[in-house]
Amino acid sequence: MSRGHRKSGVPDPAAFPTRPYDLVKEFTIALVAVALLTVALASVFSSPDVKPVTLASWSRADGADFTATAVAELVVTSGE
Amino acid sequence: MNGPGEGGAAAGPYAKVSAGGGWTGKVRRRAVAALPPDKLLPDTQPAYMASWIYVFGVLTVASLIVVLATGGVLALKGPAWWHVSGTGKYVNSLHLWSVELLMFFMVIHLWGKFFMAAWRGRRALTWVTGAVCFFTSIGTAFTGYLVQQNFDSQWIAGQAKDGLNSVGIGAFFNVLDFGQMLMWHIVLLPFVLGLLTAWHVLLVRWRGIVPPIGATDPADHGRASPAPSPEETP
Repeated sequence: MSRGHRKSGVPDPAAFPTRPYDLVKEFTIALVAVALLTVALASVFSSPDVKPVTLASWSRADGADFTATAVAELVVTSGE
Repeated sequence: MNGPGEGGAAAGPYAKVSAGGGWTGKVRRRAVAALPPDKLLPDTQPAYMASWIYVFGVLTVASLIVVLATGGVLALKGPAWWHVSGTGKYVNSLHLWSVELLMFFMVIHLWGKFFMAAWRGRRALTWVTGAVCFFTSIGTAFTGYLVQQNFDSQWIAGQAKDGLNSVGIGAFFNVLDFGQMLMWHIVLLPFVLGLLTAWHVLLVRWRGIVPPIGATDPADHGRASPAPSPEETP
């Protein structure tokens, strides 16, 4: 037990019996597993998509209103 | 069999690293002494780690990498892409679900370490950096809700500004400013989270995985690892 571990009262992990372990392999498997799980969840559940209100959507929904407003802006008669 | 893979001081060939003088030599000596290669990338682990609970740390890091990769694609294509493209929406879904997995794995990891009292044995900084990573992740996720470019994000920002103004940080953390929130979400907070995560992982490798409560030191017969005392609670 090293001095620091003796002071804290918690045994040093290095003092315990060990078993073989492949850190890089574990990380690689974890990364592949998480990536596949993400692909599966995204495919099944997708994601919510509340569409934004844009100039494009406004002009498509009500072309006349968009044109009238745009023309009013151009001739500087809007907001007066 | 005892191995050098976990915890303990630098030993063997790394006890005295040859390095030149100056700041560089000093940093190299200290870095290799604190984290020699067989401690940084161990090929053994303590036998007490035979439990699935120890897998959730690496799953959290793996999820973070998927989050950063999918978020990187969204950042390159622009914040409006996912609204107008089927591919964009799928990448957005990948980003959302990798974040869900990140938070799920991180919370299981947090619970596991809490019930192990993993701050014992001079590991308080490891615990604290992990906790700060958790709170930083929540903040990063919240700024993600603010950059959806729709009425959802506008409504969320409208609610959040009152809370943030009430604690006096609304002037420089302005949730109604889309550009500022986008930069927090895709640059500043991921950068901070990446640094904290790297620091946390290095601390884990430096101190080793905490032995279970009540574990006895094989080299010191009958000496048990005590339950955490109030002084050891961070």
